[in-house]
Amino acid sequence: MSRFHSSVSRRDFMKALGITGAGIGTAAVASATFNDIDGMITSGAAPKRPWWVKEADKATVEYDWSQIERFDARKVMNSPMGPPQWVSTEEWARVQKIAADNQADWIKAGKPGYTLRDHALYKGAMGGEGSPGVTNYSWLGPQKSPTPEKLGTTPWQGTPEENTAMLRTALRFFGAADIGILELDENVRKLVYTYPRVAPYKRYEFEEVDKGYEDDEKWVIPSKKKLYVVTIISQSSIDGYTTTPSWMQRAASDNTVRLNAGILAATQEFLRTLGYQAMAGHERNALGPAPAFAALSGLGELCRNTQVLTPDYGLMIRAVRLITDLPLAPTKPIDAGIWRFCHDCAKCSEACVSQAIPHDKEPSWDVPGGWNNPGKKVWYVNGVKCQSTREMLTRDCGLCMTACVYTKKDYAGIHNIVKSTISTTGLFNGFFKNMDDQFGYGTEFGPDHNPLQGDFNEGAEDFWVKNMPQFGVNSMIGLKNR
Amino acid sequence: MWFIIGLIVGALILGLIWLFRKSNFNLNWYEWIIGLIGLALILFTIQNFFGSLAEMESKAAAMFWLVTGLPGLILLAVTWQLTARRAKKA
Repeated sequence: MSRFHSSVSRRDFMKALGITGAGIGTAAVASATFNDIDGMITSGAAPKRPWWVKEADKATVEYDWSQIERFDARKVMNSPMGPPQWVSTEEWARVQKIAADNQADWIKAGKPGYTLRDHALYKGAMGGEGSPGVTNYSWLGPQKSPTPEKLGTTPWQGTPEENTAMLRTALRFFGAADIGILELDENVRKLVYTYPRVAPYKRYEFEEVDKGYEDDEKWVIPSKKKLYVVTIISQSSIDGYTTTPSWMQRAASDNTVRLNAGILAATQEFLRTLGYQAMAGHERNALGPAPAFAALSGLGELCRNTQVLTPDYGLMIRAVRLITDLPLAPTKPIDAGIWRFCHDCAKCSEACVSQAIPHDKEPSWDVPGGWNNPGKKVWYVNGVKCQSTREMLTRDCGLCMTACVYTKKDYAGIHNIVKSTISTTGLFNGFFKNMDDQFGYGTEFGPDHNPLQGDFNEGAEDFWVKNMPQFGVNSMIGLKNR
Repeated sequence: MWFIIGLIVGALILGLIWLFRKSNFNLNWYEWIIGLIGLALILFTIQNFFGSLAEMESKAAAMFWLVTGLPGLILLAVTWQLTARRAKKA
């Protein structure tokens, strides 16, 4: 019989532990940590969500499954195949020349944020992605760990809730911040790309088979089994991002990408030894759009710059996903007032060097170009403007992510007051955005003040003398014992 | 930090109560309210000041003194003046 969702009360639980006599103090500690036994067991090692993050039946962004079709990721502007489809050859050659000249000139001149040391940090953080380097993504993983058959046993058995908690614990241990789970049903299948963003350009196929596999032409997802998409988010360093525009910002992003590759491989091996499959992508943005999977599985809400904004980590995350046949309990979308707040904020749009993020109060169903997949009412980013400017800033920008009101460390108590108020009412959204500006949060850089105009981030070099937490992030966010 | 602040605030409140008893004096209800709001604002400011410094947000740290710290100090000063003038009259 399953031990979950039983009628065991907390009192019985305490009795069973033999510590009933420990008294009110112990009970108070237990009650502060979890509300009931099921809550404790299903939460795994994840921190308890703040009270103002509410579960919802549907993601806060409007979307229409009937308009969504499987998308060819080779169309996006940050695919090597993208620019030739949307930009003239001459224009893209001009952008690439500016990018190459800027890189050479800025390194030579030792511009703040663009010194050789900063460039080396970025390249080191990447770990030789795709070279092959230390960050090799693969469809089925390393496949070196033993299977249950090899160990003379049978696959791991547990309820979906138990398995979810186990997986969350393992992934927190491997370095992830949190996971979200979606059943790969008929609708969610539409989010799986037809072709990936970067080479090898093999097709993602659903086939009536038991096991996933790959050959020279396709990555195969087995249709015979009930499958789940696990979206994994890991933190990026806010200390790196706040140096932007700089290569330390890019390093902060790629540091997480490198970690995520390791987490994926570790998870694939973990699931293999448990007796289950885990199909991941061959690169950081494989399988399907991270914001869609993350928003639908409650890791955050979609936001103005069409990324997923998390209540705890803001935009300081990178996400990867895998598909598994381990039975899991899907996680629900959330409503923390974030999507509503974006209607009144637009701080990311103001900071955008290329002005690629719309300033309009209301989102739209209309896509600006073929690089977007329609079917959702959002502020579609002009990918051509965004990617061209990122290239000229020598591969990345990150100003929209740094400017966001939610991009904060969590030491000052005011942030929780602001976020809980935003979740409760939209009345103060404009006020909070203005106060965020007045208090000097975010970034001073924008369309009229950036390295392309000769203005560099003089404070970027402080990165090298800061007290740096391990991995550049605060892994205790949401936990109480510090 | 909060342990030390707790000790200081506790000692101050005890000292205040001791002083009132010694001089056979008490605060009006509205003086208590104004004073406690002022104290709460100061404590809020202290937490956010040090929190902002830890976040490397020096402008935010300074702004907390201006936006919440100054009103807190004013409210404490108002409480002090109200009681001082009342004591003087008596």
